Amino acid sequence: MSGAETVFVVFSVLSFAYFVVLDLLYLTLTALAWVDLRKKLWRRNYLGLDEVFASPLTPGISVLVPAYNEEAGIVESVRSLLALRYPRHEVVVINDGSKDGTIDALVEAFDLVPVRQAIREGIATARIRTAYVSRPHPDLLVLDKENAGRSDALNAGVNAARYPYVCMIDADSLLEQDALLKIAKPLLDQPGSLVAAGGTVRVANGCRIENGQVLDVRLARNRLAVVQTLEYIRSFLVARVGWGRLNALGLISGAFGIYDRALLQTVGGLWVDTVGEDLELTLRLHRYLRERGEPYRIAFVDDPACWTEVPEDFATLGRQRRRWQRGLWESLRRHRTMIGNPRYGIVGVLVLVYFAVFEFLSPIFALLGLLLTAALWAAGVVSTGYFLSMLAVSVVLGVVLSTAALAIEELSFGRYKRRRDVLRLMAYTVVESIGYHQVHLTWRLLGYVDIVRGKTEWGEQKRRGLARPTPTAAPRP
Amino acid sequence: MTLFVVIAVLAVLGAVAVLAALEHRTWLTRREARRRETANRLRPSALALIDGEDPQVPTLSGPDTLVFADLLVHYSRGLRGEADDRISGYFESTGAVDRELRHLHGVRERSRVEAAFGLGDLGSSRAVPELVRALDDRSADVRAAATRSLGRLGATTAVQQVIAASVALRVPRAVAGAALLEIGPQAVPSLLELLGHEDPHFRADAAELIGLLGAANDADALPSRLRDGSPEVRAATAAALGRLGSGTARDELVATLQDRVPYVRASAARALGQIGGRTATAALLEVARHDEFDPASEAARALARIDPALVLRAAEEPDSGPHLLEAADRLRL
Amino acid sequence: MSGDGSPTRQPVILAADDDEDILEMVAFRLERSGYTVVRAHDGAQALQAARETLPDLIVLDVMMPKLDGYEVTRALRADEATSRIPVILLTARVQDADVQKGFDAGADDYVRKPFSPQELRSRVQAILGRR
Repeated sequence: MSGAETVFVVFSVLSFAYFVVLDLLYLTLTALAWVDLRKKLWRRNYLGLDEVFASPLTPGISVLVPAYNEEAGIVESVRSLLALRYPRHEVVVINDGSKDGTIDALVEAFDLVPVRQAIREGIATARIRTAYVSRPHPDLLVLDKENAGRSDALNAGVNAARYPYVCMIDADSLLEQDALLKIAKPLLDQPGSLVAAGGTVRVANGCRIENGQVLDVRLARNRLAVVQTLEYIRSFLVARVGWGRLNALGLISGAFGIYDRALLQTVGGLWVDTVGEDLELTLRLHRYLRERGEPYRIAFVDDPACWTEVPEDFATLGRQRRRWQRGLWESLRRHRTMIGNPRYGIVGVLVLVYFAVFEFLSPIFALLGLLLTAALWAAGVVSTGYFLSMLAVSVVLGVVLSTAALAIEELSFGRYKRRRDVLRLMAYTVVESIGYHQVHLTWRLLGYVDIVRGKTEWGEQKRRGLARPTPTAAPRP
Repeated sequence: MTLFVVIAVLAVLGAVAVLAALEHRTWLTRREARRRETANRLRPSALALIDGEDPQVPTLSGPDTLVFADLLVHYSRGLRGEADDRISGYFESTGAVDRELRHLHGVRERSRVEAAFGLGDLGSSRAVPELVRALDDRSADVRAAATRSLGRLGATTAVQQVIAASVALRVPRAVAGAALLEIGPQAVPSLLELLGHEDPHFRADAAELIGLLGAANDADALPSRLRDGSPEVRAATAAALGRLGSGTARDELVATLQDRVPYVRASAARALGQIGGRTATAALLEVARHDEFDPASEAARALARIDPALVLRAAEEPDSGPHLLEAADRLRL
Repeated sequence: MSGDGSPTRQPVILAADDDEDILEMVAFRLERSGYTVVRAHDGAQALQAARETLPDLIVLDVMMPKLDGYEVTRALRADEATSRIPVILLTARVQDADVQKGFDAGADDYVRKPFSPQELRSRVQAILGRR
């Protein structure tokens, strides 16, 4: 064997080991998720949500809605947020310098009146031009702010929030009626120690939606949306449930999470110079609290759901995934001291390492490693048995793990009621592992290019699908 | 080779699980449809029973009995008074109460939780001693369910035990608190005792609950807690005094506006707004103008309640600060 | 409605609640007390039914999909045709602020859930008798 060949073979074997470790990790997470959901399933009937709703002890939540060019859907969305079943909540819409008629639509629909609103100076943000309150809805506050991105808008919302907890969502997210009650339940059960909680994000494409509520859960027609449906199920109901059980939730999705407001102000809110602000914030909270040795919990609550539209074309989806890769890089770089550092407990030695190796570096091992192995096999350097084993631990086990995730979804939640939808999802576990996933990894690979180029400007991106279903680096190519 | 076998087995297992889940789901959907149909059929009898005009209970069999019971349970959560009594009478007569009491001692955690939870909806006070015993169950879910049920039953005799379970951290404070609120003002004497507990969390809880449950004369025990060592207790006490609306504590609350902890000052300002009376306006105006965000904002809001004209006037002055401006604008809405 | 020349007409009450069981309970009690009951399952339906049937009184659940009880009340008050119809709110909330919010919206009375059907009936009778 020549020197180059040896290097190639070693790399291929490394990739093989990468897949095996990732498979084992995912099998463990699947098992944990399974145990957890089995235990929680029947308990769901005994949560006493009616009592939580009626209790004056339930803490208030400010729902923060950043809006950029949302004229079309914002009114309906705000109306449904105001109608959420929760005893004490306000809705704060932050118009991030929209170029369309977002503000006019809100003023018209909710009879908004300008008010000289006092706002905390805690986190520095772009200038707020006008604050409005609604005459008929005292629980609606609208901030009209100069454009500075989603994170800056949310920070302004944190400054203006009245209640001790804030819930961050996207303007196009649809929260289920009981979502706030369910996500707040752990706050009541473990007062004091819970600083943040994330809920499940689901794919709204294809569902029948009326007045900001999902009335009938259906699978999208669009193939890319179906694949993402599967991706979201796996990443929320398997990965997050599993990580949550290890008390090691590394990411609360920006599409749906609640946070302790005072803590957000202490740590300085969302970082505005990253495109991965939700990941960065979750890591920063872990870091801040671990460095102070304070007991805390960041929980994942599987039941409350937020429905979001995902991109239906390759170009938009590709941009989204490249952006995530860049965001991941920015977060890892900022918190590089945590990677593998036992000072940060399981978050340091497991979560950060997972993000770095199995998410950020996934294109190298999972895509290039697999391609290289195929080439080595074609050149007769490695045996057919070796190549087939490689395919088995990468592609085939991917199908298995997705099927398991689907089984967990069906057994525990069963949101997809139509037989046709479930069978179609099952068929797509194959499409996802063979084909889609490689494309996904290619986008991640292209993400490196963006990082090297140091692309920091946001550009006029389509605002659909900001939800992050990561950690998704699904265990395969 | 083993690798391929393992993966193949896993794949088959996964696929079978999905298909089984699918069948199960279809079955559940059908059962739910049947249940709804039965419920619609039985609803008139349930309504007649609850209303008391037609105490004749229909003879039911098999699944109908369960659906009928579910209906009544649902109604019992939404109703009180005589209607609720008639529902518990029905459950007493069908032996449902005895059945659940037996389940409360079951081996499976699940049936104990179900029983502890369900007994609250059946409305029988016979369940109270057993539920009190269930506060010592080894499962946290049984304990929480029993606490909730004691609240639903308005078990005045269980107040001490619910508080004890909460203090021993055997039941989440919020769950115990909600149950005590359901039980009502008869919980107040025990809560007054809890005001002297060594752990500030419980003193604060006690003050908060007294504020929600008590009458004006319960306020006498509270003002001394405005000088408690724990800011949490001071804030909760101020909030409670505000809710009770007792004017006797006004001067002490005005003094609390000088507390060194901002959220205690905020709480005192809000309480003064609820109590009303113009003697506090000068002190509130000072806080609204110059204090930190939270106390200033609460003080401005309190002033808007006590003396709107004063707020509108003060907002015109040059040093009014952002909070009085906001309060004035909101008054004009 | 008394003294308008049709004293034999049964008063019409519009009841709205998204919980079918509770709605039927309310309707049952009121029908037994001699009222004609029109049912609505959400806020939007309630508003439409109010405009079409112009009932003598409206019982509204506060928490309803589409439009909540406060919003329906406000919309009723804003409309010349319905502005004088008395409204009773059914509320599961306990805070005084929410009760205040109901009165601010223009409600005439409120009944707290869990409620007693008899109590609801006497509130209805009290309001209808007053007019």
